[in-house]
Amino acid sequence: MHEMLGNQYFMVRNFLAAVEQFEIAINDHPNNDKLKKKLIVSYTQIGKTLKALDLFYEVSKKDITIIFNTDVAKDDCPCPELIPLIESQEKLNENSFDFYITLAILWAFCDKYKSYEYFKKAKSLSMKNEKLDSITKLYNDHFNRIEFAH
Amino acid sequence: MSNINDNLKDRILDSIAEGVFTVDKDFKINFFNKAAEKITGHKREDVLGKFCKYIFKSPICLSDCPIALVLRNQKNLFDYESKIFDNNGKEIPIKLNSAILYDENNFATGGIVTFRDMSQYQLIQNQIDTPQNFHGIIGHSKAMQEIFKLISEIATSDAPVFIHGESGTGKELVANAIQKLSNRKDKPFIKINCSVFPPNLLASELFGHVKGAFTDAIKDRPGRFELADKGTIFLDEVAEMPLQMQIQLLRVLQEGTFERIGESLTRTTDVRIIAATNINIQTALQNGKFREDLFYRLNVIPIEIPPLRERKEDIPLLINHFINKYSRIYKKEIKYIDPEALNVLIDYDWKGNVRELENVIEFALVRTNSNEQIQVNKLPSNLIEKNNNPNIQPFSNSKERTEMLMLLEKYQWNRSKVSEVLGIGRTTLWRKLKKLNLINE
Repeated sequence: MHEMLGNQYFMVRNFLAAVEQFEIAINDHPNNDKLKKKLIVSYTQIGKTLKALDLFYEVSKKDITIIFNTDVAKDDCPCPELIPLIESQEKLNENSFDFYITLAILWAFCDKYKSYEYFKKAKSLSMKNEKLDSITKLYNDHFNRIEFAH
Repeated sequence: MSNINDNLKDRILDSIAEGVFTVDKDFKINFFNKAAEKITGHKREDVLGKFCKYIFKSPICLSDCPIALVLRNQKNLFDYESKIFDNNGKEIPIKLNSAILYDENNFATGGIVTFRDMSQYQLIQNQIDTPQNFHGIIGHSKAMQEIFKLISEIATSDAPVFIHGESGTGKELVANAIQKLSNRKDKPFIKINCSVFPPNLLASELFGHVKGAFTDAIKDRPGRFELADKGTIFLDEVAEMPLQMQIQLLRVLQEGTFERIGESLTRTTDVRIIAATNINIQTALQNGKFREDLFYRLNVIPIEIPPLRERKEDIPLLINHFINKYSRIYKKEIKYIDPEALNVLIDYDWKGNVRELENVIEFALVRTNSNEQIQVNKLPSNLIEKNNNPNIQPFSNSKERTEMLMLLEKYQWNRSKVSEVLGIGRTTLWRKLKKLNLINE
């Protein structure tokens, strides 16, 4: 019930209410990656950037293509609506770690290369962040695999 | 007995007249029956696999999705009124039922919605609401038709409405019509007459109180503003409100906030305010009995209901309406009023307005035998006495007046038609009506 209600809130972009439902649902379905992806996006929209980053890392560590293989239309991914709104506020958020992390995560669902750029920007602001190091490593490994396949 | 297969289930669902669709837990449509195709104009193959919000495009998809309501309240929905948009963008009023589908582990796996097209029903409803009977308000005079038009225009806005009219003119009916036509029609509609409560009780009624706030406050109680949240509140005789409370009301209007008596917690409310008064508001403002700032806040949409004596052309229509109403109530076959009695009623000055007229008709109808007309001697004595008073001018041209009245009624007071039938110009007819005391223009 909580997953479905969370989906409805997510669909109408009520992220605060969606988080409430998804957090309960995830206890019943700890391996539900689809649900986790929605929770990651929702966290970024309610200011819980570090929670979003933790969950993003958890899913990416398992298989980064779970994130990259998102079908924006089929999955009703809100990122294309959200990204322009957030990017338009760049001037106000220069040197903001949260700002770059949010964009890095959202872009990951649409364009992994842009996402990587934002992760690098976030990394340049943070003296030492193991999670960021691990995430960029996952990206690099993925890009190398693609290159190798070619 | 064997279970029916999915194919047969689909055929059963395709044979019913109600639209049926189901969604999976992501709210993607996974079943859409033939009736749903017919009502919405969407083809099944075009909607399967799509998110329902992109198909139905109903405003409630964003606020009160029927499936989400069931999930939240754990109660199925029955006969829930809503709207959807068809394939061509045309709005369709519907009534729907909705429920959740569960798997064997009792996890929600989707939802089902069945819906009926209510367009035809609304069409019939609109036919019942004739131009002379606007949501229970009767009148074909120009003044009343303008009020009906104004109500239709402003009902869907959330702006405050201030209704002014003498006692018995139908202020509450106007408030009812506005609420019924508003976007808040399915939300609470709370009415309160501000003159019937002593000042200390009125504050408690409007804003609520907490336990111990005063001697009789034995438990917490929400006020009318809390109960009306998201809906409409009708403040009748608002000018009778004490000045101190007018300040509190002003705050609700400006900020949507208030406190229960005895509590410091500030609460919010989202209400549309419809206020009414029968007193001369300009005098009340001059005497300082009604705050000017509050008046301007309330008076965003003013509606002035004319007294009955200023719209005498509505009297025959009202009489017919009340005869029909009370004939049904008292189970009598009475359809008409004697012309002489009608003349008496038209010439009366109706200080109590429509309410007084209604009482008079009820009184006379009770005294009249079934299958008879209401005669003048069945009217209340004060009306007849006034009519017999030598100081009052007798009816002039009584026969001509009665005939004219009948003609006007026959053509529903359409003066162009009446002048055409009589073979006279509209101005000549106007002079005649004026002379016969049938209009006040």
